[in-house]
Amino acid sequence: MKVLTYNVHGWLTPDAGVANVDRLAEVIAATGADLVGLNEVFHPWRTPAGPALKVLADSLGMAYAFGPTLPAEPAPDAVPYGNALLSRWPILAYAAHHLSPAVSYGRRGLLETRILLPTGQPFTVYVTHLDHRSESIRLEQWAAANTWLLRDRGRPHLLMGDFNALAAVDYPTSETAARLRAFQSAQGWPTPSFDLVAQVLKTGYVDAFERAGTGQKMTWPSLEPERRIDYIFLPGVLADGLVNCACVDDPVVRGASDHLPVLAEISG
Amino acid sequence: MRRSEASVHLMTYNIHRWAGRDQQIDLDRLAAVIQAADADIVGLNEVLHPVTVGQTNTAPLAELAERLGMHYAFGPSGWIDYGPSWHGPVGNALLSRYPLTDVSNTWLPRLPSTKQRSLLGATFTSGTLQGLTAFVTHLDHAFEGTRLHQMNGIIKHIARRSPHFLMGDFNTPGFLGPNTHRLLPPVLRLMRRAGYEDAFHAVGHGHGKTFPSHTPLVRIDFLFMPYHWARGFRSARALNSGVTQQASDHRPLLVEWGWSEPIAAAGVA
Repeated sequence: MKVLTYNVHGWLTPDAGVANVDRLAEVIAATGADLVGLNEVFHPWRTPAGPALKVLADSLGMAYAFGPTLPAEPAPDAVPYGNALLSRWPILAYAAHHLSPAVSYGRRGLLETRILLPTGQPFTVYVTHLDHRSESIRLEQWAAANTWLLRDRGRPHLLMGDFNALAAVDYPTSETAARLRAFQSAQGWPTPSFDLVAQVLKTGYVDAFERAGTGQKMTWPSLEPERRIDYIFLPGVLADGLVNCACVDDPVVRGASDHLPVLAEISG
Repeated sequence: MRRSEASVHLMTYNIHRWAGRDQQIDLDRLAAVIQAADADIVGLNEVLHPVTVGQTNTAPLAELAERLGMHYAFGPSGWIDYGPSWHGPVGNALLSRYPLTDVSNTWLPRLPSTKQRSLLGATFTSGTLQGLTAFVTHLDHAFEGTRLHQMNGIIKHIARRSPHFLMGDFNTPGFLGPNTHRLLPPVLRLMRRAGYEDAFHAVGHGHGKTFPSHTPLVRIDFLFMPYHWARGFRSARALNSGVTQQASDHRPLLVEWGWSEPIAAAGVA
């Protein structure tokens, strides 16, 4: 199976801020992905052809599920926002878990979906998008997510999305670490932390790119990729089936969203 | 728990297929737990009735009811083989001090590759609870989406009945702590939207965790009432004693509920 995780930037292109649904469809179709986790999805987001998520799913011939996150500032005309999944195979059921702690910078959640594989086996796929500003909030959100993920420990499942977190493995030398610190301070951001990804790995997940990745690895910002913050995590039971993993990067992809998607292929 | 006047004790209890922590059937322990709580109504999950253990056929549900001097109803959802030669129809049951009528067993909506689950209902015909209907269920263990699907079916089935309450093993964690409201799981958000109050959330004492019984980590056993009737909640707690830690892998939840007027004439839910 081919799995893609993709932050779609609220259905807008990164530069001009125009609707990107057609480009997303092109990018996703070219990857041949069977399961696609989407972040920053507004649904129903009106387009002339219908709600953007439905238009995208229909054009790919895929089923979809949408998990709205907790509204931080409820407004009567607000369009629900959250994570979504596209699946080539039937989606049996899904549930949207809330992850935002009392103090946070926005609406975060964990979409849990149950897929029926062609083999007849059910398979759980989780899609999440963690806080973009604070590692300590991300750690709280991870603790909340883990209360759900724990139940799938030992069972084949997938966890993917925009974790907004950095992995220590991507900064192996003093040069790369210095470059990261310079980037952080140029943005006015706090010193980098690798705790979240370390926690995820400690729980027993395998970072697909770390295990099998090749080529350019940075996923954000798409126009000049600088950071790897989008991940596909596999539980140990699936890790041996990992065939390859790559960041999908070409000029069309760079113009579609402010993130580049990550594609992993898993056999068996 | 001290009993207020005109109140009843409602208990929900997953009895782990009659197997205690020592994997033995021991009705003395279960009877002791129920008697010590002075329970009037007990919803039971994971009941095998009848059950074959080794070469012996028994009906521990009937035996337990007889020991307690209670009426009982059983609603099977399937057949289970639990260990070598430990098998029988499995489902939910109800024990009641009061006679039962209109006993129903409804199959919940079922998704592919999940086990069939069911909803047991029965109405009390006398005493302070005359006219009240109890529902007992046990939701999917693995996946919240399946539980949402099942609970939508339950609500569709029970919402028009009034008065009633719903209890059982929901298998969804009731979060604890200061962030509880924001992190309410999908099934519990659905219950709230449908107009149901969680007894422990309303009037609970202690941590409320029910599973696993020896060192409980999660609150997954619940009793819900429509908001109108939930005004009668007096107290709720997960019971713990040396016996509850041996009798099952769950602790029972005990809820005290009181209603001063006749239930059947007390307005709408």
